[in-house]
Amino acid sequence: MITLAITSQKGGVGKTTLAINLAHAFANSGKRTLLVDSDPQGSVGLSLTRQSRHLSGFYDMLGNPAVSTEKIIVPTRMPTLSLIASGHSSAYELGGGSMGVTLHRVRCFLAEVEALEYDVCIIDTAAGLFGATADVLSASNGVIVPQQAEPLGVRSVPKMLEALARMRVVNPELQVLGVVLTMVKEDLPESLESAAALRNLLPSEMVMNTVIPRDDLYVRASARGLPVGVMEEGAESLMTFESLRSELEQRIVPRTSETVNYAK
Amino acid sequence: MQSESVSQWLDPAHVRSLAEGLLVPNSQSNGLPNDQMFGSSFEGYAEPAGRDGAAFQMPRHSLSDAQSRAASSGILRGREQTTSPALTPEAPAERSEVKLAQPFETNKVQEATGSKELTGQMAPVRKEVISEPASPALPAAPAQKVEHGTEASVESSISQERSAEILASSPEDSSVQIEPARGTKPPKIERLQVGSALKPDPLLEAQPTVIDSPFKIASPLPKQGLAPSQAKSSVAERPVFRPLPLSTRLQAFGVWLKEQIPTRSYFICDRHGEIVVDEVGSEKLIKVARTLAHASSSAGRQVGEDKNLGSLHVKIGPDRVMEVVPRHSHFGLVVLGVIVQRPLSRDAVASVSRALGTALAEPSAPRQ
Repeated sequence: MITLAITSQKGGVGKTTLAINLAHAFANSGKRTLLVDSDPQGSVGLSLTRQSRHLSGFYDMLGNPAVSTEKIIVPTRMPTLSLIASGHSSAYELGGGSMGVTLHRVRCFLAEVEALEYDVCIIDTAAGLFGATADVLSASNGVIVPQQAEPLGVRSVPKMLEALARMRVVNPELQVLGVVLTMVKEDLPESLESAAALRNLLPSEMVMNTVIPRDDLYVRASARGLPVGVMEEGAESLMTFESLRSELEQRIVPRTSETVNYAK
Repeated sequence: MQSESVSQWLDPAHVRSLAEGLLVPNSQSNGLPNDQMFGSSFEGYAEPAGRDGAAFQMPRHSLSDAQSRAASSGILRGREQTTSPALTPEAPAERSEVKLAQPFETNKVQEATGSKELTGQMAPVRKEVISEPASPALPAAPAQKVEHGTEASVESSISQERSAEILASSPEDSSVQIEPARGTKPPKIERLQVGSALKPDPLLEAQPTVIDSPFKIASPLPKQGLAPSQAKSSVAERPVFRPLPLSTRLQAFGVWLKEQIPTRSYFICDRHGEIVVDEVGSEKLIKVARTLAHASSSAGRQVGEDKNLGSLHVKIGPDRVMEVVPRHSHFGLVVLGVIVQRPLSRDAVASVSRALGTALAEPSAPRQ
């Protein structure tokens, strides 16, 4: 199983939209995909189910070892796609937040997900690389960073990179799969300039070729509780995320170098 | 022009350097990320030896490992390899059939919380949906799965045990063990029960009254009471109680520690990072130790093992491990960091923790 975290320092950059639609793209390609919402706001659940507030989810599992992973998995009408809602995070919000507190539970959780024979686990995280998000990154194989194609988004890049560098200390195997430009507005010069600036700023292999445009269709899809790819007029968006999925799979290149096993 | 505007807000060269460091696999990155945070000798978090559970192994798999495993089982296919809708994985289909049999099973957890049945925005899962890949697909099915309840409970109990163990270092094969000092047995010390305005730490109260310790504490007073007249006259003759200062006690602890375990250096700090003893001289390592100690303490509270904080260790070099021993005391959470060659055994950690607790304990004054 491959675990991919969708994360960013800045909020409102399209993490949840990316997570939902990328998960849909993986599932659409036949891979058993689990979409996990680790954002206490519960954005994935709120985007996809009206009952999300009542669902037990990720934070219930973190806070109570008696809550098994299998019980919190919500199947969807797409057989290859399941999701885990955020659940009830009040205990975490009151007593948690420090990195490392939930790391063991997250690792156990992912081991259980792997045992359930999922091929891909995509975890949507809260903004900021601390607390449970840091623990998710500590246990993930790869991280995808959506980056808003706006001037403020570009300016926040250094902090994001520094935070990722810290995360790679904790999880040396964490592969930064790349930055995905989101909310690109082709009729707005500042947006295009920001996208170009980011491509100039970062190594080309760090920025995905696929960009996610700002499109009203995402709002409409969210209103209907659907991934944009299943909307009637969503064929183009489906292609966008198919392209992104393909690009990601190509980036997951086997490493020839030996990995360091710290347990030895 | 755009690059000029960006460079006004950030340093492009620095950003590019950071980004390039992230793209290099850690084993080839010359320690760039490590240097930034903990110094060149820091290699990452060590794991207790003997752990072979999936939960411990899984995060250590590289992405390439995961991918190669996935590829070998036919999971990751190139884009050119199409998946026939008719052959969409068998397992999901089986899951759908299970749903058909019990379309309105509700999650036990949900039942416990009184939530209503999950209807989703779509109809319940139906088997024929499998052949409709383009149909609106996502909203949740009516129920979370409840099958395999027995297995799940067994697994959850196992994971509960694991969660309780995670922060305790228990390398079974660790060669570093506490041994009694040659020639001399550690003195047995009885804690004096004395009246004091200071309320003892409840955590310390729970400890056994007889403990091994390198410290000598004033011998108990004779139990027989003195007659009032005798007591009056004996006031001047009674030796003045002078508890050893904390620094002396900690110094003695340090001597004992180095006799017992092959440590190069150690440090002690409080939860705020105030250094009490520092032979390590690395602010970064102390920061790591504090972070781990806080995490251990918080996690311990979550699993109801606040008193037994265990230890954590971090590999900081090819043959160096920093063993972190958090200890509650009336000063609050105190963190001991010991640089050793291998992680300490659970017993060794317990002994060190007890000795540290004794050194930190409020000296008891003789009963007046």
